Amino acid sequence: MTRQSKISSKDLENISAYLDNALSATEKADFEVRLAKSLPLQKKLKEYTQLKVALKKLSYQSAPRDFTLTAEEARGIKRKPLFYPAFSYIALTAALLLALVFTSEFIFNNFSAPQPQDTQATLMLATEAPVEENVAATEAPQIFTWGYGYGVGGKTEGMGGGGSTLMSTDQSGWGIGGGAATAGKDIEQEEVLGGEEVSPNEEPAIEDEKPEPTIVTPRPVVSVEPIIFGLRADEAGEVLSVFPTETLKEPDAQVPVEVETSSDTITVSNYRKYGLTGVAVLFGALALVYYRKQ
Amino acid sequence: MSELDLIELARNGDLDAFNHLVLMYQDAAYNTAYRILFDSAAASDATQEAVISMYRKLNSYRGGSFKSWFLRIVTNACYDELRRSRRRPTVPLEPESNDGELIESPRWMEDSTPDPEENLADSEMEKAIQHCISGLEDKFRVVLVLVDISGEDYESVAVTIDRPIGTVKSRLARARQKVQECLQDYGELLPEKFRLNDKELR
Repeated sequence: MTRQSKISSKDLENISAYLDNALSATEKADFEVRLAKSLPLQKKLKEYTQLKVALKKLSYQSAPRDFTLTAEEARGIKRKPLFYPAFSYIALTAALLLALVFTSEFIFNNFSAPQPQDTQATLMLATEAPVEENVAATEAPQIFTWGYGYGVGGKTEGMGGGGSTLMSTDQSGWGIGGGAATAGKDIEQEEVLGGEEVSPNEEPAIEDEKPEPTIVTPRPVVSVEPIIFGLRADEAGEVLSVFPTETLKEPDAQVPVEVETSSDTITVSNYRKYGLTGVAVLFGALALVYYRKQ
Repeated sequence: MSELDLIELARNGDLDAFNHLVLMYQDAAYNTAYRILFDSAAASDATQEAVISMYRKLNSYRGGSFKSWFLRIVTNACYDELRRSRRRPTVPLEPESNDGELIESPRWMEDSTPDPEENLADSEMEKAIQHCISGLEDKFRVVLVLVDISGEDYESVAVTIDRPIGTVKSRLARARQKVQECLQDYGELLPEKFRLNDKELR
């Protein structure tokens, strides 16, 4: 029999659990074998047993009064409503969805491949085409070719660079082709005024370099002053040496510039975002109110 | 009427059934609260809070031992009470000696029942035990009271304190060890039966 006085914390746990009959069968058998050989374990078990008995003998403290509730008290106590958890879950789900929408939109807009620019130009034309189309329907279709200028950059395509195809056959293709709607006006002007506004870019030799013909819906005939970005007829010859962006520094108020960009086609409707935000805030607030009431 | 019937009625808003349940377990609740808090007023407050909380949460009762579920609420109320008392420490009304020490048994608190010797021994022992229990950390005291005084099993206590059974075992062992060491410090003040005779183990 050992007399080692040090008892590990594990042994103390085993003694305590043994006293409460909370050891499994194997643990109990193992412990009893060890207990039979160890005096300190026996001593500790005896101390714990005495303590347990003493604790059990502590006087029972009866309630000094009844703690029952009166009907009035019960009415004053609001029971936690069954739909309280539902509020929390709905608010949480809406918040998660909102976060998901913003995250996916951010990832999609920042890391997805850009769309081809000619697609965007087509989109712009399609957007503007319905304007005054009655007249256009009566005319024969014209064939327009695209110059090199259409692919200069975002600004160019935003303004419909090269839209006025008749005048944008040079490499810059800029000074004249202001936006799709403007292009239509330019075309009309060319026809109605008989080329009174002569485009400096109008050089037939370059037409041989046109990549491929494109059929475009004819523009309506409108009797308005020709709008040529940054150009006057008498200055046309000088414009060739001017860099295109210089002529576009100040946007013309008459030309509709707001064109829906392609990124709008891949974004989630703002209504959905507002809706999700509203749901999250509303149910979150309701859950908070109920929580505070409790 | 069985306990289950009473619970079902109480959940459906029957206040009498609810109060019947309260009467069934209020002594156990108060006793547990008293042993944890060692203050009758605080124990009363905690028990009342637990009853109100039980009424509010009755719909969330999911079966099992109703007493254990109620004691769990009582224990949580005691935790709240302990936190509250630590935030706002109170000054005891009991008289103090000249050196500022608390006189634990003032004359006006003495028990007037007959058989004073026996009562005195029991009273001294109980006081010593309660003093030792009170000296424990909350987490050890709660486990000791629930198991050794309220008679709850390890599983119920594990649910009550929201910890695994292993934690209950270790906390209980440490609590017993601390109380036992504390009682040994009382030495001669304890009755003979609580003083171990080391000779018998040699």
